[in-house]
Amino acid sequence: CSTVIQDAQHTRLERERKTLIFFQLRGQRVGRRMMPRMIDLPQKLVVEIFKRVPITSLKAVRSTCKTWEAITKSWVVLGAAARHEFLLGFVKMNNKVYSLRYHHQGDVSVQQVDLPNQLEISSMVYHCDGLVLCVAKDLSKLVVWNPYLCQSRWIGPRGESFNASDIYAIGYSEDKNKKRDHKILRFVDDSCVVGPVISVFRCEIYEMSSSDSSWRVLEEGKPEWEIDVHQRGASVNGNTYFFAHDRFDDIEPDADGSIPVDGVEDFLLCFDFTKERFGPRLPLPFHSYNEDCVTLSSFLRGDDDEQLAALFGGCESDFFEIWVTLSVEPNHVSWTKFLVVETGGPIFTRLNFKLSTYFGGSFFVDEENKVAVVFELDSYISISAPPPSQHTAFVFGQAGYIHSVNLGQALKLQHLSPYSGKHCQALLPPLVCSSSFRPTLVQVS
Amino acid sequence: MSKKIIFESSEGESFEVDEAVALECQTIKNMIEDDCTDGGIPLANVNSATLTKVIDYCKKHVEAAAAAEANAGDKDIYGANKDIELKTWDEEFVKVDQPLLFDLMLAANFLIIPGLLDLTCKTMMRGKTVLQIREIFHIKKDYTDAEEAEVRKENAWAFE
Repeated sequence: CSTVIQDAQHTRLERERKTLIFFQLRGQRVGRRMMPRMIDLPQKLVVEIFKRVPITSLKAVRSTCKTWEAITKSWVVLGAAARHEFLLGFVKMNNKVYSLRYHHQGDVSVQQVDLPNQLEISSMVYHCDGLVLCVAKDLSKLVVWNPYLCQSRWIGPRGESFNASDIYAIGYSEDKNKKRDHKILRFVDDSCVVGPVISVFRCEIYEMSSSDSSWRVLEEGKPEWEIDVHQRGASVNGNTYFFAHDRFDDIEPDADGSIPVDGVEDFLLCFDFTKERFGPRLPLPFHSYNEDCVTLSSFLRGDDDEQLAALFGGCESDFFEIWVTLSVEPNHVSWTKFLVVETGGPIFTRLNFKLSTYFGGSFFVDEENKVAVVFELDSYISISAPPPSQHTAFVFGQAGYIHSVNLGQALKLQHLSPYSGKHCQALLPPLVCSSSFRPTLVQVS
Repeated sequence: MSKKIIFESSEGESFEVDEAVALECQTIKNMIEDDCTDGGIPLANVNSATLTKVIDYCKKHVEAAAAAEANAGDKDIYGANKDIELKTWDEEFVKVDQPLLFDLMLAANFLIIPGLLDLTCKTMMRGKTVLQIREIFHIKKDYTDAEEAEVRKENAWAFE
């Protein structure tokens, strides 16, 4: 009996060996004397190569031939394995969009991007799930852009034009089959704008997939909170989180007419794109007041765990801190401290680092390497005096590590103030879309 | 003394390696487990030059893994340095001409050496210009100049 088993085993091993040799010979027949051609490579290997090509090589890969152009537009395999090396995003400087490349060794570089029709953009660029939302400088339209597919869509307002004080967000709802429906939120609340208060409060939704391409007004009563017009949300898992506080006009002023510091509660709010409404007040790990700098950002922990980061810098203090979430959902959040930077030292004077109260302090974090990159103007304090202000990325690492990267000169440009509603000349700090860009095949045109 | 495995290259040249080194190749590992490696393993589609490099790679990684294990107790800066050293070694290792890089990738794919496959695939296209990529993969340009310029413009956002 044992002989039979041995024989059977022997036969199996012999067969395996022959199979191995067969495959080797077949491989040889492909013409190994010649330099191999791409079409000779097994499909699996081609995919393996594409996965490891960073998205920064997209231009080269697509310019190679029509087949590769078509392949990379029907797959998002490109860069999948190289995702952790680079963080790619977008920055707004001087009303133009720049693409941003950050390598984990700390170098930051930018390059101007030509938006369709040389579009000049106003205040903000938002990013979610591979889609970028821009607001045209003349407020006549919004543009949703899918850079990976080289597609864009122009969206007009519901009635009259958009306002300088509007707040926007781009996100998505997800059904049980993980099918995503991309939407834009427009949030109008003019009570904090100077001028005749007609007290308009309105939320509008634009659905990217809807056939009639129009804005839909949500039923929302005027809330007991407000979001400052310079605040930008941060997108996490399709929802957008905002920094908000009690309405100032609901607060009882002190005897001298000022708003008491402790009287205003500040918190985080989530706009849930699935339920299409704002969630409950969520705690923040700090308490801020009117002119302090608070900005939000989102980042990726591991492969697909999106988290939120918050920067807080007191307007008179000589430090700022960055907190990151351990978990974040529309009705729950927990925080841990990520970085504290003392900004009082001589190096900060030399680097001209100062957080600007409004529009400044946009940032992103590289959690794995314990680095935060804050985008600001240098020599912000002396805007009227030379040398000219530079758009600057300040890279903060562990143990007081800091360096700055000049991103180009800041220009004094005509700007429609969201507070006064008037045109003025202003130097605005760079604004970064925090979350790392990930290609998507969502059709926008 | 550790067990030896004999590889035979496409030119018929024999290479004797420690079993531990051969085990880096998943394909060979399966054969060793099935006990069918006596009399050598003929690798008809791996030439001597490629096989020499493949063995170098496996040896280095076996040694590095052994060193890492020995230092596992005191995981300090030393351990981190080791990591960097291996990475640098890998980078130097793939500084070879394009035909050899191709052969290494095919060998890694066939012998199933995940680390080497990753390394060679990664090196294949990175930092290369369009002309270089076309040359490497023998791809014919099927764009007109205007079409190519348009594609480059559209994808300018992703850097080069």
